[in-house]
Amino acid sequence: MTRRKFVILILSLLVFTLVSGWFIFSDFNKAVKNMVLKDTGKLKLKPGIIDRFVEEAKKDNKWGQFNTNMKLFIMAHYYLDSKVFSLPYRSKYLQKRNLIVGNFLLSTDFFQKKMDLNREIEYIALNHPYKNPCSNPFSSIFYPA
Amino acid sequence: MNDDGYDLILVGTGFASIFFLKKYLEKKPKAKVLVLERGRLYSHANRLQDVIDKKDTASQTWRSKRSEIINPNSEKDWVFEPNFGGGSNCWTGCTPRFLESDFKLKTNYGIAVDWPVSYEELEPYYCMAEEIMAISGPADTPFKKSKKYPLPPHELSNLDILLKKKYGDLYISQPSARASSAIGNRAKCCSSSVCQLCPVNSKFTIENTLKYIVEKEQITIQYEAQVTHLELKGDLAGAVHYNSGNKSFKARGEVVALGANAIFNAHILLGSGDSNPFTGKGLTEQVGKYVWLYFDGLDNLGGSSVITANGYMMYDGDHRKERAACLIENHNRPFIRSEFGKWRQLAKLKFVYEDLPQDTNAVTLSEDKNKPLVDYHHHSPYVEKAIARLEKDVEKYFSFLPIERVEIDDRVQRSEAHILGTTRMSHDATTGVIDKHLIHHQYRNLFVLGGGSFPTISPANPTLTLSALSLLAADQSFS
Ligand SMILES: Cc1cc2nc3c(=O)[nH]c(=O)nc-3n(C[C@H](O)[C@H](O)[C@H](O)COP(=O)(O)OP(=O)(O)OC[C@H]3O[C@@H](n4cnc5c(N)ncnc54)[C@H](O)[C@@H]3O)c2cc1C
Ligand code: SF4
Repeated sequence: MTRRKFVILILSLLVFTLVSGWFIFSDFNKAVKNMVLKDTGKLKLKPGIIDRFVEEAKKDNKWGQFNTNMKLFIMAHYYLDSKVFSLPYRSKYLQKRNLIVGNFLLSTDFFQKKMDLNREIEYIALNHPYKNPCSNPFSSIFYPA
Repeated sequence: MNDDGYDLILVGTGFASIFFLKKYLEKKPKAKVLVLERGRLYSHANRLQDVIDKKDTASQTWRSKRSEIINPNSEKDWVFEPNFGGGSNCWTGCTPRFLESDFKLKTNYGIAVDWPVSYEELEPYYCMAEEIMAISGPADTPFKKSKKYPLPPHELSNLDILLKKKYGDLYISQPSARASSAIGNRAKCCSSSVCQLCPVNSKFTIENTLKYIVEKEQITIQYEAQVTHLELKGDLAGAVHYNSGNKSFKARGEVVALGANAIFNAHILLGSGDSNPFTGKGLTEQVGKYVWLYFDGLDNLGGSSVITANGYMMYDGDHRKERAACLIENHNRPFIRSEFGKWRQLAKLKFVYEDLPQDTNAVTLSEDKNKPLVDYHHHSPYVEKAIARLEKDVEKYFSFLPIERVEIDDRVQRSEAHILGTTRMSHDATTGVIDKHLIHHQYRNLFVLGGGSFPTISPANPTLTLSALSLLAADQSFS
């Protein structure tokens, strides 16, 4: 191996360690909050409801459904994704992001009130099919045939 | 009755066993029966409480990280529920019938084999099974029915209505054991979409509908009793050996019926020295792939259950001469698309393909005599050929919708939760393990129930069919 190649290898390893270390120690809940903030920016949300969701989701270990690798994958995409650059498996990431933001919106009355953009969106309770069964807001209970 | 034993020893308490027992007791109401169940009675109420209390691993005993089997294939899961009621506790309740052609692949398409039983013979038993499970389903179906479904169909979503308009009887409200109106101990399904443990006890389970059978006076049920092997002598099965606690026991029955599922039935037979060359071979299940449709301007709303419809457009036809049939499911969970104004402009479809049994996929004995080795390698090229054209097929059947983009999962699902084909039925012992009454070709008092009996598997969910086969077996074997 030439000296030049060796230096490049060491530098790449260093960058990789720093980036992965940063993701490991940065807070997944913060990434969740930022994603929700960004994707619901055009909605009229009652103040404080995103914080409440993030807090309750944390308490309920809602993101325990993602293992550490998946959390790193989501955060890497969230922080590095841009108009000019995106990591591989972007559609997988978007599916997870749909799930996270979906969980927030399903914890509010937005869908139950038929996505009405004119009213202020209220928080109901952390989306939980066992604590609040029969609350699928897209089902025929809310949209009869 | 057998002096020193039971008229019937039944192994397991899932669909295969309990449907068999129901019909058997109608024929022999005074029979003395021993039921051996390897697990415990873990009630719906206790499971619900455990989920709410966050003891998730306790309630999800069906999950895939299994200690009961040896599975060297890291790409493949085998999921089942080893407790009272078996898979009925965690199933989704999808109950399409097989099509007539599923029983005749050889005759119709020159592929694999025909079943020794025909759709016409099974039809009355399909009706009985549907009655017992109070199936919700539509009037018009791609398969012939002599009786209406007991409950009305689930409501279609607005996407389903468009597809129904285009494809007629090839696109139907999914027949299901999720009740479209309250019945017995079961509430109306309200689309909570967590059917692995229904919060309102809507789907049929053995516990909510048929538990009374094992409570009859002449039935002895023993929990935490794991059957290890049978004594096979001449043309009969003799004593049934089982472990309970740290002790071993044996019991005698005039008739023995195994309903432990396709992995464990085969394992028990192999552990008993069954020398039929097909026992354990041909382990098969369907192969599933998800597709997301992102719409431009079409909101996907309505529908009264978790899977609203089945599409038969890619199921039957001459293509089966060379590639697998496919059944489409429209999944109606509360998923969203995180894009302003397009929140619900997407659909999640599952394309479920049949597979052909291959002898190299097999259940065998392992060094641990209590655990089967589940030696599954890969699905067949017959499925691969069908999956290879999925993109084209989606284009062909769905492009009339306002689709913005399509996303096809890069991988197939790790499991369809259907364990099939290890004790195939056939006309004689040169081509299979059991006959059309699910009786072992050699041991004539031994029934081997369940989806292990399927010689080919169809893309349709198997449980209604295996329950109907249990009813047929008990009805036609006892007077
Ligand atoms: C998550 C999930 C979803 C599903 N959804 C659907 C669906 O929507 N539609 C469909 O058609 N199918 C579905 N299935 C499949 C369905 O559950 C099975 O086809 C069905 O349960 C098979 O019935 P069975 O009686 O043959 O076996 P099981 O239900 O597996 O019952 C076997 C019984 O035998 C007992 N047992 C096992 N070994 C021994 C032993 N050695 N000694 C004593 N007892 C023993 C077990 O404890 C159990 O009680 C699903 C399965 C899962 C896991
Ligand atoms: S969709 Fe919901 S209510 Fe219906 S059976 Fe499944 S979990 Fe139960």
